[in-house]
Amino acid sequence: MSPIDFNPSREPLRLGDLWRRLVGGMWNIERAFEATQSSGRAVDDTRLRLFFVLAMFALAFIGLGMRATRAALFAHPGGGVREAPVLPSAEADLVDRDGRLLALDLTHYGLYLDASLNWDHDEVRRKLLPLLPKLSAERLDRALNANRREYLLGALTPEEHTAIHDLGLPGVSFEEEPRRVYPLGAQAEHLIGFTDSGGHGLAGAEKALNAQLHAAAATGQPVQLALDLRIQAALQDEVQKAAAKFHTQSAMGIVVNIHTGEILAMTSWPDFDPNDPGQSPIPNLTNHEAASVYELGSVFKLFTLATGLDTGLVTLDTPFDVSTPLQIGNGRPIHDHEKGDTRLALWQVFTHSSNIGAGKLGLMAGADRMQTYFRNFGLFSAAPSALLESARPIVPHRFDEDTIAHMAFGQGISISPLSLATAYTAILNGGVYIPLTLTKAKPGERPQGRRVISEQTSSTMLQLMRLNVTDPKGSGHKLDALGLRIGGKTGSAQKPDHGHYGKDNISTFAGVFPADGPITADRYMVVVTLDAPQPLPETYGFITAGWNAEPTAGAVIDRIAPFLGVQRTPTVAVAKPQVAAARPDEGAE
Amino acid sequence: MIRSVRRVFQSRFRGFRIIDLSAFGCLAVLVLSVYAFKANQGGENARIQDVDDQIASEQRQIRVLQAQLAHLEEPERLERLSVQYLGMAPPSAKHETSIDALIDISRQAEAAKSTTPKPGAKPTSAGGEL
Repeated sequence: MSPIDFNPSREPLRLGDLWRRLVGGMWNIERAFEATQSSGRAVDDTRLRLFFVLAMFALAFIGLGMRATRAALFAHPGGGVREAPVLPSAEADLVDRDGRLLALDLTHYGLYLDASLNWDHDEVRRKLLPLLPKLSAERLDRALNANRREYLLGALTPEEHTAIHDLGLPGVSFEEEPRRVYPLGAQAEHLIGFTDSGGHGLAGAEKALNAQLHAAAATGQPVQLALDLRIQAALQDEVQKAAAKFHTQSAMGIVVNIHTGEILAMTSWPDFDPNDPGQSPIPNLTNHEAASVYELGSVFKLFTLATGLDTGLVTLDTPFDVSTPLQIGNGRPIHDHEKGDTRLALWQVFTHSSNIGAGKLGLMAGADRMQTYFRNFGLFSAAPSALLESARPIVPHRFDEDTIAHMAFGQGISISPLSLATAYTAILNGGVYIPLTLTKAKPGERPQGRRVISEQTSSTMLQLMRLNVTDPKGSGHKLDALGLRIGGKTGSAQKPDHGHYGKDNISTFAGVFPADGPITADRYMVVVTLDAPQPLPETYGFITAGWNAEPTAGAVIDRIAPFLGVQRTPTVAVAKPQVAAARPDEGAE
Repeated sequence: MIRSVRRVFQSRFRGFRIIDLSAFGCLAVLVLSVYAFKANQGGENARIQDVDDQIASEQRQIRVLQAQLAHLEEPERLERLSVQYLGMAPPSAKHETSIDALIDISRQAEAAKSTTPKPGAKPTSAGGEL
C-alpha cells in the first residue's frame, strides 16, 4: 500500500469514479481478448471466455450456497416466535396505594359453533345447555340450523372454557377475548368505575385515567391509585350501615389527605357490581359523592367565617345579635335552632351553628367579597377532580342581600360533597386550593395550588373546627371521646321538594383529624353525607347531622386512624383560638 | 499452471470426470446437511412454541389466581367473615396503645399480680378485718 493511501486529504471514492474504473477494467479485459485473437490464438480465446463465464457462475452459486447454509445453520432459533401484540383494548392493572389489585384484564373466551362439522345435534344440546345457563335453547337451535360458523356466547370464564373444551364436541371452537374484571366486586366501585366491552372507561378512574391505562398496558406496569383498600372498607362499611340504619335515599363519604389532595377512599350508596353494571338500576350507578349536588347547609359557615376573618372584617370576638330572626325584605326569615342564645361572639356563631349570625356576617362581607371568596373556594364550579362525573353546582342567578344571607349558611347553593371536601381541604391545609387527585402522590410530594386564604386564617379555622368538637355546646361535641383530636362541622339542610323545603334533610359532617399540631402536620379529612335520614327512637326523633352523619363519621375515623398512623392521646381541653373566650353577653354588635 | 488445472478438469474415474463427481458429492452433502439442520431446527422451534404456549397459559392462570386472591383478601370480606365465624370485632380505643407504652402496661400487670393475695393465704393485719 503506497503512502498516498494514508493521506487524510485524499477525497473519498465517488460513484462516478467507481463506474469509470469498472468500465475501464472491462475494456482492459476485452482488449486482452482482442490481443490474444490478433496473435492467432483463437481457440485459447474461446476457452478463456468459457472459463470466465463458468467462473462467474461458480462464484454466484458458491455465494448463494454459503448464504443458504448460513441461513439454515445460524438463524435465530426463536426467530419464528413473536410475543402476542398488545391489543388496542388492553388496559393496565389498576392497584391501590399498597399494590392491591383493583381491576385487571383477564382472558375470556367467545364460544362459536359450526354446525356443518357436527353430526349429532342432540348431543350438543344435551351437553352444552346444562353447562351454560346464559345460553338460550333458541339461540343454540339457530346456530345448529345455520350452515356457517355462528357466535354463540361471549365472556366465558377459563373454567367454563375448559369444561366445554373437555366435552370434545365437533364444530365447537373458541376465540380469546380480553375482559375487564373487578375482583373486589361492589367495593370502591364508584371510584374505580367500569369499562365497556371495548375497554373504554365509562365511569370512575377507568374513565378518568383511560389514556393512562391504555398507555401503561404496553409497558405492563400497573396504574396506582391513591385509594387505600383498608380505609375504603371501613368507610364503605360504616356508610352502608348508616344508610341501612337511617333508611336514607342515598349515602356517601370520602376520606382525603388534605395536604396532598389524595382521595384515600370514596363511597356512594346504593352500590352496584362493576363486573355486571347493566344489571343495576341507573341510580345505583351514580356516584352521588361527585355527580349529585345538594344544599349542604351549615357546613358552609366555615366558608363564611373564613371570608370574614381573612378579609379582616371581623375577629373571633366580634359579637352578633341573634335574639331575633333575620328578615331581609320579603325573603324567608332566618331562624336559629332554639338554644336560648341572644348574643354570640363569632366563634360561638360557628360552634352554636347560628344561621342568624352567619347570615349577618355574610351581609357584612357583602356580595362582592362573598362571591370572590366562594368562587376561590371552588364553590361556583365543578370540583376540578380527574373524575369526569364531577357535577357543576347550582348557583344563585343573582346575589342580592337575601341570597347572600342564605348562602352564608348553605341555603340557595347546591354543590357536590366532592366540591365541599375540596373547599374544606383548601381552608384547612394552610389556605391553598388543590384539586383532589385519584392517583398516588410521590413520597413527600405536596402539590402546588393557589392560595385562597392566609395561613393564619387557615390555622384559626382549624382551631375553630376543633373547638366545635370540644365545646359542650359545639355541634360536633359527641366525637371528642375518641382521643383523636377531631375537629368538625355539621350541616343539616332541608331538602327541596316541589319548589319548597320539605321535611327531609341532607345531613353532612365534615371532620378533620388530628386537628392539633402545626398547620403543616399530616392531617386527614372525612366527609359523610346522608340523603334523607329518617328519625329513630334512639335519635329522639331528630334527623339533624349530629344524630346520624356525625356518629357515622366518628365511627369511620375511629377505624381508620390506626391505618393512617394517628395516635390516640388523652383529650385536652381546647381554648378558643388566639383570644380569650368572649361571653355571650359581652360586647356589642 | 494451466496444464495442472486442465489435468484436474480432464482426469476421469470410470468415465466420469473427477471434478463432476466431486461437485455432485459436495452438493449431496450440502443438501443433506441443510435438510438435517432444518429438520432439527423445526423441531426446536416447535418445542420453543410449546414452551411459549405453556408460559402464556401459566401467565393466564396466574392472572386468574391473582384476581381470586384479590377477591379473597378483600378487607371488607375478611372482616365480615371474622365477625361471622370467629366472633371477632375491631379493637376498641381502650385496646390501642403505642409500642413504648407496652412496657408500662406490662409493669402494671406484674404489680397487680404480685399484690393479689393467694387463695387460702392468711390475711395480714393490713388486708384482713380487724
